[in-house]
Amino acid sequence: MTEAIVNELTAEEQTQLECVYVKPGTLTETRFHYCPGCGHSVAHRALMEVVAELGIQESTVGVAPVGCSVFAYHYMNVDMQEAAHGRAAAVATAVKRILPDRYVFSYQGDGDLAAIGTAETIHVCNRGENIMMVFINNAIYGMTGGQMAPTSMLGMKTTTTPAGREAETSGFPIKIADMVAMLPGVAYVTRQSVHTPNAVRQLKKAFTRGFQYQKEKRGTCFIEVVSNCPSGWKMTPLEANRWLVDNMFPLYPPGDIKVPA
Amino acid sequence: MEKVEFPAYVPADHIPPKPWATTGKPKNRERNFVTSLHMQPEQMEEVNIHLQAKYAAIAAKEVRYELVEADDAEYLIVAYGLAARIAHRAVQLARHEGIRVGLLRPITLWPYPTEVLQSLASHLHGVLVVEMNAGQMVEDVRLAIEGRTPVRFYGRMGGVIPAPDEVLHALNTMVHSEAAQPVEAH
Ligand SMILES: Cc1ncc(C[n+]2csc(CCOP(=O)(O)OP(=O)(O)O)c2C)c(N)n1
Ligand code: SF4
Repeated sequence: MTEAIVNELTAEEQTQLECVYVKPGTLTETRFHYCPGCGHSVAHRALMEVVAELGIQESTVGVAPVGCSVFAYHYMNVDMQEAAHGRAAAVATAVKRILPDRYVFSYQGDGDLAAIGTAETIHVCNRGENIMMVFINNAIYGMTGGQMAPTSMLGMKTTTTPAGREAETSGFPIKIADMVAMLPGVAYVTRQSVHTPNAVRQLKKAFTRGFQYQKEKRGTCFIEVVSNCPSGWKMTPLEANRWLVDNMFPLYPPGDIKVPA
Repeated sequence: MEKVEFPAYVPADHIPPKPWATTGKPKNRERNFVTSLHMQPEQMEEVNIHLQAKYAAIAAKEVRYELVEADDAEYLIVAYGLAARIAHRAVQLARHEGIRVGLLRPITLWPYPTEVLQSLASHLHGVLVVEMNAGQMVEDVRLAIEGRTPVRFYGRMGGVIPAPDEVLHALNTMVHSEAAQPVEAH
């Protein structure tokens, strides 16, 4: 497509072209399998752009979750591990302790990090492991067909709460970023998003800070990404991003929650 | 029951290289990723075939068991762990009474000592499986014996520790029951 457009230009015009936007070498040639409009693609790219910008591709090791991003290692062009459902941060702990001079991150959904992996999440943060946890919160289990997650909002309709989530039977949405922020081992907690270009820029700044703090051995960095799930939410990508602002931000407002002194 | 054996210390630089390790991707190599999941069925099957070969190698090499007084045995008790200690005493008591009984104590439950059971089975009048549960290993014994000789079970549950004379009694019951008469060889 791009090539076709370029070919229509005159030789003179072609010499005036300047490349301003390329796919970073930290992403592989594999095409994303994510649904159109899914925040996972945007978050992958933002994270890998930061790895490229910081020049740390050779010293970065990631851990993929179970969930829609289970195949993160097919897209991210860095060394990566797979982990059992919920255990990415525990595996990342091992990698970091064996290779303390590498940049280590886990990348996990809300079902992975805040449901089945709650124990690992809390204890990794409580030990202040010097890793970066990337937490993709789309308020739902995307991969398995849109079931309620611990993060689902009250009233939110999912396949397991067809009448909307009720606190009486399903409890309240868990704000895990705010919870881990209370732990002294946690250095940096921020909540960002992926729904607008500006949000992505802010997210990239957060990733940059996370890697910087890791280099300085400040403790656990926890970056929540308020994301979407157009398929699970049964919306178009545009509707999903609007719904995210109207329904997720009131409970999960973007911004820093804890920053190191 | 088994003592822990510590292998000799191996210095880190004597460990075989791990070219697959996720240590950070240098420019001159493809990224490493450690995964057990492949979406291409043919690729996944290759992994399964590799694992099956590995399991077969383990099954061929790693079977461990202890055999006690089995040479002239007409009866065999199969038991592991604590139950095996008790059964060992029961075997001694039974021998005093003139019952030719031996003990097979599987040390590995997988791979299971299937072959030794099979080779003994045709000379036996019966097998008694003793466990401290409702019968978790008895099926493995039956699978190995394949009906060549009767297999009986004696178990206590809930943490009750059977006394050797209880096991002896169970053995005697089997010895004197009709079901324990020699079966036709086939
Ligand atoms: C031990 C185990 N339990 C359950 C599952 C099924 N499972 C796969 S993905 C998933 C939820 C993923 O949700 P989330 O972490 O929010 O990620 P998303 O798919 O939304 O990106 C579940 C429950 C599993 N794979 N393994
Ligand atoms: S199901 Fe949801 S989270 Fe999964 S790829 Fe599709 S939109 Fe993304």
